[in-house]
Amino acid sequence: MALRSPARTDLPPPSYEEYVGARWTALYRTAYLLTGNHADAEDLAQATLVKAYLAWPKVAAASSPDAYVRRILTNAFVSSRRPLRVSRERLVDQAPEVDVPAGHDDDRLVLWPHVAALPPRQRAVIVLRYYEDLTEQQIADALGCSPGTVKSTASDALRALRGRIAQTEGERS
Amino acid sequence: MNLEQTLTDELASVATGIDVPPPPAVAAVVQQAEQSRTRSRVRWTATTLLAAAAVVAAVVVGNQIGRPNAAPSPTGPTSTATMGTFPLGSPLRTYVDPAKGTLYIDGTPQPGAWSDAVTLGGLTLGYGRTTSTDGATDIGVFRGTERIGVLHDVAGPVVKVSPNARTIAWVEDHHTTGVIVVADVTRSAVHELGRLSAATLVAKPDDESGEQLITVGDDGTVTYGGVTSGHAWRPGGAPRATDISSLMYGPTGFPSRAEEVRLDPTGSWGAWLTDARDPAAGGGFASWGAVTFQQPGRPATKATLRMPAGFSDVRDLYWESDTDVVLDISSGDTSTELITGHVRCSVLTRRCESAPTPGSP
Repeated sequence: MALRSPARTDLPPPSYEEYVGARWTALYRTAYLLTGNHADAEDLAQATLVKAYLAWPKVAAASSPDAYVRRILTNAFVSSRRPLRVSRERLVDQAPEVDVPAGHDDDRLVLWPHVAALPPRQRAVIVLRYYEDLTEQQIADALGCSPGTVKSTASDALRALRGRIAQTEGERS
Repeated sequence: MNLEQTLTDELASVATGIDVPPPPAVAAVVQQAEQSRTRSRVRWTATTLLAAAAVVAAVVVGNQIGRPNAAPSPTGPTSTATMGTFPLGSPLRTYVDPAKGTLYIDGTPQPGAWSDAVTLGGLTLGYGRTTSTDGATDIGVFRGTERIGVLHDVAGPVVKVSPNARTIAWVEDHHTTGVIVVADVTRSAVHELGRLSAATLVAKPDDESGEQLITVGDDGTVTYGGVTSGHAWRPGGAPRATDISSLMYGPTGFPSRAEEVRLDPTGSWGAWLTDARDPAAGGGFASWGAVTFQQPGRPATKATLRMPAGFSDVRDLYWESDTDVVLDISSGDTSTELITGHVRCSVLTRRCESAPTPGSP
């Protein structure tokens, strides 16, 4: 389940604790797709929760708390110029490799390794478009850019993925 | 291959195939948020450079003379340490009891319920526990142990303090515009020196087109701006364009690998956390376990104070005075991130001591 919730009703806004409990799994999955490994995904998801807490009155009052939190998540990911753990722990020697989730046949994941190798903004657009199933306008809102930028970024990302697939197939043949 | 359909299928497959860890403890997230709120709220703006003595470390010294970009030399394992490893020092100068919300300044408990506080020179800013529905935080302003005012509706909430801690500035969020307020805090009350409205200052943390308050000088001059423009304004005058590029990306004059350098109140020293990598470990992550000092632009003054084994999980640091840094020590349990102790290290003596919390046995 992506980071999307049903349309809001007249129910009172959730408390922070309720939101964390209800949305952690979705938040973590999106964070994992963005970062490509569990360590950074956990840091990103937690950093998002910290920022969400600091802005909680606004988050809870938003027409879509999930959209607000998604914006925090993607901006935290895209704007990080360094490993997410750097505030408390630092990366040494080698970047962790992209995890292949347990139960997956590595060969069946044709695109995933290449998605994880995309630049952060391209990766964010791909995840928001093809996992969160957002429109260009919604992605633009999440990333704080124009729909045109989303369109061009997505185009660049897809072109890069096609190129890498072609390269991989060429190396195998 | 249908690239887009394959993307949809694979991303869904990966997302549902991973083992999602349990959510973090909300109390720990809240504590981390409150700590980050205070640490990011106050920025010293000094640029003065002072001379200082050469560097000798207390626990272990990693002198980096001539190797300004070199990482501190790893040391061999030592016996597991506890707070008793360090000599007992004086209690933390400013402390908020997280359970009771009691603010202590120089050992004196203050009335009210607080979430965090920071002391800079003789000035303390206490951040009240949020009780209003709009999330606004009242900020108590203390000169010594005397409360001289309370700030309301502070955007951020971020308060800038001048290098001599006699002038402060903040932004009030008036919905459609932001208002910079500059005030003198040397008297028995917070005395406003001037206000300036600017629509670009309305708090939009993720909006790169917005502007933010950056510094306040001892004479009340504030700098503010964003990605595209910078301004300076002094109460009584008119805003003027200024280059803020050197102010936007943190202190300069430190190794490029130094991250999140914190300047002391006078700007004489910078301090940052460094890793404590086990030399036998391979790639991956290593915890912060040391603090490095250096004067800006003077790599020969760089030295590292490394925590002994058992203290290899330093979470944060802040300057308690012009010469002392306090390190927040965690239990090492990343699922909670609870701060379990504090170590005070002096840039002058190059020695560290445990800093008990006020009111603790």
